[in-house]
Amino acid sequence: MGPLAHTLSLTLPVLLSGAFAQGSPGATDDGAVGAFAHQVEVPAGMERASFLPNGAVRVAPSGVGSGRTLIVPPLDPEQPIVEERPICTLLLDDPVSDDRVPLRIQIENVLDRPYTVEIPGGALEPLEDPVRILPLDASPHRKGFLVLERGAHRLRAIGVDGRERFRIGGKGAGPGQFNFPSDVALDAEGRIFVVDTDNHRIQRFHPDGAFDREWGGRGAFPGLLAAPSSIDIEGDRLYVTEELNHRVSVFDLNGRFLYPWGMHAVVPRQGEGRIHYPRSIDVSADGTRAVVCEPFERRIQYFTRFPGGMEEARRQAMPSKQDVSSHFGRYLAGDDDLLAMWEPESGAVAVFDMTTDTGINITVFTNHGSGWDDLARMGALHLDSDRQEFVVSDVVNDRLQLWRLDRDREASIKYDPFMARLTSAVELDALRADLASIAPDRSWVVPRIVSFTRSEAPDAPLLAADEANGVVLALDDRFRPVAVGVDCATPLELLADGEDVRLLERDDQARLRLLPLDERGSALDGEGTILEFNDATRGAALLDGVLFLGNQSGDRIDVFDRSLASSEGSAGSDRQWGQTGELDGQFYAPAGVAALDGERIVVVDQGNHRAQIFAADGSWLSTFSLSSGYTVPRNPPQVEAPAEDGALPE
Amino acid sequence: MMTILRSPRTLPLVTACSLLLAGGCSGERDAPSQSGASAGPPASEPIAPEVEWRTAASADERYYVRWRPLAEPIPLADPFDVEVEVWTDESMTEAGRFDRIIVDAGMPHHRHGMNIVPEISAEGPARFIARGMLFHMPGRWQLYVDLIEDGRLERSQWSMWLSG
Repeated sequence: MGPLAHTLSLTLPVLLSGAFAQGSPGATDDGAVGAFAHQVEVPAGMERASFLPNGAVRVAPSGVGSGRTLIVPPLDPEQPIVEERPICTLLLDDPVSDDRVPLRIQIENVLDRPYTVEIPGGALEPLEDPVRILPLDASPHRKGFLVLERGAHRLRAIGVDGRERFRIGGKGAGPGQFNFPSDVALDAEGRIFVVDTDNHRIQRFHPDGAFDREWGGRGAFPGLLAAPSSIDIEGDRLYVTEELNHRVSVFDLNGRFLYPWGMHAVVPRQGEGRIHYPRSIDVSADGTRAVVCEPFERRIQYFTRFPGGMEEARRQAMPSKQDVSSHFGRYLAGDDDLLAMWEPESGAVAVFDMTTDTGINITVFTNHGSGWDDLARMGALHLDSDRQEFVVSDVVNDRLQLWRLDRDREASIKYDPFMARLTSAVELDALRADLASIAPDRSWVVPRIVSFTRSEAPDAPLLAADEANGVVLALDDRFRPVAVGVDCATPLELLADGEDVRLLERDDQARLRLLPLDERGSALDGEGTILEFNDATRGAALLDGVLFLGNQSGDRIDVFDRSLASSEGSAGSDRQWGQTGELDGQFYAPAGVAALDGERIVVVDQGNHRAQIFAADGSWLSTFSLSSGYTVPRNPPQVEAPAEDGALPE
Repeated sequence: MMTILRSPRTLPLVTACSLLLAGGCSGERDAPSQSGASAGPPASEPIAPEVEWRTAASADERYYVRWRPLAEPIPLADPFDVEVEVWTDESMTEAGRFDRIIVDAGMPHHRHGMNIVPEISAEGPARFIARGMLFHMPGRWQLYVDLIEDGRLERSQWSMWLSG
């Protein structure tokens, strides 16, 4: 037995016994919420659910902003009421882009009563990607509000006069730094708890913003966290949803682990206490009920107390993912005879040989981590089949990596874990410095690359969509900028089809727009084509002038072909294929689309933990995952219904 | 100006968990001072001349890197040192210029690296010693030499088989 095996055999029992034996010394009673009660379907896009005093649940698109909101009444949970008036938590009188803006904030989803702060113009620095606003009058110490700005990796405390009292954060992994924080909560003493999502931890601060303590760390063992997404505090307990562990972890307010609940869903729509990518949690004020929102499943689930109290909660099986062989998704890149896909749960990129009818996994590379050959969170993935190269954007470690495949195309297909090798990488701050030197008239921040592509024109540079600077960049083979292309506030995808390149983006009116670019990323015309498509997915592919868009909320692929023929104007999809389900040809939340060898379209069917290959006309060809693939449909035979007299058909 | 950093490579999960129990899992650490690398022979003295060098160009051929273990065969589950030279030319007449060097190893098949971090010291303009390498299990290992200049990394790597 090697040293690692010794470590495992010693570590596992200690961790388990230690975690579950810690008890709940701070708990006010032995009650433990987490027993499944019931579930309710909600429309796509709903991310937060919170209790109202009358027992109803308000479901909203996000923690900040306006939009359609649902009220799910307590006595008729199958019939949500659509509330058309926006339950706004943030109202801006002017666009955020101004240097200083007058601001009016209403907070209803926390206090369940209007809480309005009027900030005069000029008093407040613009907000950057705010995801949570929390009134401080819940704190005995302060008035005003906290605003958590995910994109800026910071938390600011603002007084009612609009003056900033303190700020915490800055991108990083040290104490008081954040990596894409997603939620914040206060306890009765006014202490501040921040969900530091991509550092996989909770940080606690004193009411004046001074760092106090942290806990967590990426992992699945009790007390560790994987992509924590939301937090709620009731009494002396702290509840955290974890997107990649598919569970809720309960701690005391000092970070001592108490118990988990939830378990990864094996099939879509499973529910019944199994949790899939939870995004928010709210626990009722008396600590007896909880509601968890799962946007991926378009569902909220209600939980109540275990009848056997804390003892029963701890007896529940440790949340397991053993039934799921692969999560399969979400980022996908395909080119001719190769396909690559990143799986957030494992942190690895899986590579498939696509020369056969189904994909065959031939290697896996990178791990979750902070080293130069590790990957913390994928921003974009590019595959060049001719060069057998992969380019990876890591938006947490702020790096680009170039991986090369040592693959003999003539050899028989086999799995080889040594096939992919890192050849070079760049820190994005170095790229920022290069950009400042070639375009000094602009103000440059560290780029955040969310898509790549490359024209097939000779010596065409690699194009990269930089979300942080709102621009398309052209990079050479050493990731040095050779040109600055078109401005784009919200880039979604860069797409290449032979020598043609297009940018799929949200324009300044939040419409989806397809803009033709030249090989160096400059716009070929000013308008492009507005697409009538309302899903926010990034999955898209361009093949022979036809655009294929993954429609996650509609569980289908939308195809734009004839309507793209005109260079300007508006286009609706010309055809669609797919529907909700788990049969071959059906989807559940298709998360990525890629074109192969000029003929086939691959769709990551994330909710069904698989990928499917289609002809360009939508005909199903095959289904595969990491460990299996088939070309003969496994759909159950259609059974003819009995005749009215009950006789079976002949 | 050349600085030398210890490898920031993240430890595998199980090892990280055991370190957590032991009081904390550290990531990237401060650079050790050159004077702190007291073990080992003088820089001018050839080490283990009977051990063959293994040479490779970095990805973009900006560097020519060679290395050899200071013990052969490489011991199983026992620390050993590695001598590394970095040149800009294939004839190895001009020392490579870079800001940082990382010497590391891993087992892609098992999806983990070494479970300790070696210390690296500069022993000359092109010569470095990585002390405390540890191949803790038999199988196919890869050794990496990463050279970083102005935020850009180039890797050289080799594969080897370690018998049980």
